[in-house]
Amino acid sequence: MSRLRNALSAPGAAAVAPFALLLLIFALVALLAPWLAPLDPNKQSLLARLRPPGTAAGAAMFWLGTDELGRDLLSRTIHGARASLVVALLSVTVSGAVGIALGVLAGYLRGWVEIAIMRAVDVMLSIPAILLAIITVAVLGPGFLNLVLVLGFTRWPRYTRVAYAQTLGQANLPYIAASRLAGARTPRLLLRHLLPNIAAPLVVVATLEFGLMILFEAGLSFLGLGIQPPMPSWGSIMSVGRSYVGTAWWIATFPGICLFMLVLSVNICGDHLRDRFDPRSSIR
Amino acid sequence: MSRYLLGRAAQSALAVFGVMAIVFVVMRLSGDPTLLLVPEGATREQIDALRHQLGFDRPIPIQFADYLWTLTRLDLGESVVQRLPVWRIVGERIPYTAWLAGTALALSIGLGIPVGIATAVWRGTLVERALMPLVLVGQSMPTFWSGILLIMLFGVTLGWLPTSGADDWRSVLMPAVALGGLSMATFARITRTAVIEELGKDYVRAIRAKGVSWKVVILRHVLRNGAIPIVTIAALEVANLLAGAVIVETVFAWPGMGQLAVQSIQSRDFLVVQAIVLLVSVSYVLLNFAADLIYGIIDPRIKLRGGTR
Amino acid sequence: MSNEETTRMRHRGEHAAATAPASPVLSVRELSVAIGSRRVVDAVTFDLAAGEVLALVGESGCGKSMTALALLGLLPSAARLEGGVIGFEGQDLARLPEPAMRAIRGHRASIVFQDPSGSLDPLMTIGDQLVEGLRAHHAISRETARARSLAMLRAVGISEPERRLAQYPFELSGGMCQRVMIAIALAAEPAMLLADEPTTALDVTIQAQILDLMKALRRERGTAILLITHDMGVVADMADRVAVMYAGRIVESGPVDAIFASPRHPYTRLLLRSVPRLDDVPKSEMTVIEGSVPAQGDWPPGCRFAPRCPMAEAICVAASPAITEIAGGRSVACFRHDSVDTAMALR
Repeated sequence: MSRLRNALSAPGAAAVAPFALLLLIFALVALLAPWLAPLDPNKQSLLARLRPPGTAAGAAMFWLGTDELGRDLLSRTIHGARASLVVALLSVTVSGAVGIALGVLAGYLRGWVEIAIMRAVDVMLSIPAILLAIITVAVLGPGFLNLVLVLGFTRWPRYTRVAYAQTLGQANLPYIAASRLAGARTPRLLLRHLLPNIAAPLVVVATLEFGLMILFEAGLSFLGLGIQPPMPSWGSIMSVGRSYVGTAWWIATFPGICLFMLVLSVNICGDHLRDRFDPRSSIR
Repeated sequence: MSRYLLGRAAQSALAVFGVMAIVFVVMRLSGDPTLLLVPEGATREQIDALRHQLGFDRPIPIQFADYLWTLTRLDLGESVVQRLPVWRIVGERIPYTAWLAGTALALSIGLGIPVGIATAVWRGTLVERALMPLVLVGQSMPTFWSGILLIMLFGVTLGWLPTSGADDWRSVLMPAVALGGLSMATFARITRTAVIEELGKDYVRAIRAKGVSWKVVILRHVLRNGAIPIVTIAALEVANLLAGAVIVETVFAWPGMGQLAVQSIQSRDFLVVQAIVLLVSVSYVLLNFAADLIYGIIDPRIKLRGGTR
Repeated sequence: MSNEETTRMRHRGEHAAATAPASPVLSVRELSVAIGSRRVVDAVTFDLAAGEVLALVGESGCGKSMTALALLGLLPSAARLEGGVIGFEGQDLARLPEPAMRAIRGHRASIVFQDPSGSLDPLMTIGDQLVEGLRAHHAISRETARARSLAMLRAVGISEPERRLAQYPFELSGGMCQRVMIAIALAAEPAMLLADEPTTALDVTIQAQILDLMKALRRERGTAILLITHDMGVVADMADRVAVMYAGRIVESGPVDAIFASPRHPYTRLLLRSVPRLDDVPKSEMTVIEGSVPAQGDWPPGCRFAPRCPMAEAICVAASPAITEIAGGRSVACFRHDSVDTAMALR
């Protein structure tokens, strides 16, 4: 745990700070979206279709313009932050919990449990993630909940690999034997003693995955397989923007900038954490 | 060497089997796979007839065995929607995806590795400070957005390149750049890490002490020693490129397998989707096996001892 | 002194007299190396005569390895030359551009390092690495280079040299790797060989073999050797002259026998005293030098050894002693070198 604290206060943090701040701003925007958005993101207006940024219609001011159904792009973009962050957070939580649990079990119990789990990991990693996501969404149907399930289902092996290796490294250390002698039962042992000591590299994986999940959600929504309209998602808005790229450039541009800035901030903060923990771990 | 290869071959075979099993399981996640394949508005009788015809009413283990058997015979079935053999439908798309992915790979290796070397060798100088932000941008840019931006700039505004389709050689440029951006960043980072690590090793100093120039040290010694992680990542990146092609092909209306996959989902042609996923996954496993072969060639320790320890 | 010691001394003296020409092969003046703002090598001055073995001795952190690396321009990127003249074959190595340095490295002056297996490219055969070194300096064909490499492997006493040429470093033992490194270093017949702790990473028996090899090669080829080591035993075995370094500076130098018989610097005296001998009183306490070496660059004011010196006085902290020449081709940097015999027992 102290490694985590060291990482946060290390030099070089000054360069990262503005991006961490940006991340915080995105989180706040997502949280407070209903109060921050000036207009109703789902209110359609056929008269105000495809208006450029800065136009007004009556009392309403469309700062970023409107989309193909006359909805305010600014409000939709603000609400879109929710989709990105919530899906990413939930899927990281699900896949992380499952993956870490399986990895620790494999590394601690060894034997056929280890073989079964690690072979499953190898096989799962043989299928390119987005294809697995696509076929699963195809079968189960699109939508917010299914998206979270799919992402959770496909990403757990990343955590398992790291948790497994870390557990292997820790399992023979004296403090584990000491805790066992002191009467700690296995679940308690694993949760209270082992887990905090392997937390650092797992946090690094989680940060990388968080950025990836944001991109995945956006990508799948772009393909029409993720968040379904009318719920706003940067990916699905940009899909519309692609069709209007010649006539209404703003539809694709602004959500794209937000997506890019969000992922950039996550990557920079994640890199900083990774550099502090383990400068050699640039290989996923 | 043969013991090493045999081991890797067995693992690859297991992976292929596992891939087929997972696809089989996923296809049945919704309960009755017939409902996926049947056209809209079919009657009860038509559904039952199709179910019987496709064999989905048999016990699961028999279905799985039959599924594996047909796959090993390379029979991908017939599309219910298009009434054509799936092989035909997918087959005519493969060259386009290969062309796109190949160009993107060439771009990302051709740019990524030199950038990685440059930022490692000239660490701490202006070169690194200028290039690293570019790498970071490449890594954070979603492919569909960079695709759209490229279309806006080169297609709409400047009008230099076609914005969709695969009509001539110029059509592949924008999609390949969009697709290769992330991979280029990955290659740059991996190469940089590998080169930095090698440069810190004793043999670099000893070779320079022989009077060998930096250029030769880097090209002949450092790169070869650092190649193993780069080759590993190359195999992974090909998988990423094949997967990323799905999105890029949609953005640029490129007639490849990715576009076919999305179209097939929308038209509920699941046998085609299944075939694409299987094809790509198996190629990925084979590519990893090829990477293992290459390790054996590069590193004599693996060839002669079966490992680097 | 025993008859044996007298004979050895006479041989050494004869050898030194016979091979000591007028101008030295290497002439280092006021060499300084800094890491950041800290000087880790401070105004080091010494000569290396043709065909002689000069040992640079000191504890780890005293700057002896940095000195050797600085001579051939192989300093790590964090360190840089801060001043001084390195006179070698009529040129100042400190001011030579890189292409000219490259022509000298591995050709006129070579270096062998401490970790022999780590110094070889693990993915290249021994033969290819030898050939690479030769062809970097001579425009010869691969076959000629191969033949010469074969001869060098024989010269350093490697058995089955043809087989070795095709082998990889991981197939050779540490001792054999060091022989290969020596072969590479001497293949181009350099005038000077730098050896940075060449035997520290090897077993004791192999150590002796490598040292004998170096002695034999020196006799045959007349190569001057700058031997970096922390082991007084190695110094006694191989060196003609010795320079003792402490905290980035040379504190004493001179012929090995004279210095071993009568060290004039308190540090040298303590160093020699701390080497256990067979005729020590059993179960007597081992001599320890109190305190520890200061962190590189964090030098104390005045004489750098003063905080640990049993003979230190007020002047030692107030000012830095300069190198003084004394009889017998020796020099020492100590204010109280005259009183060393009375203030400190030899053992």
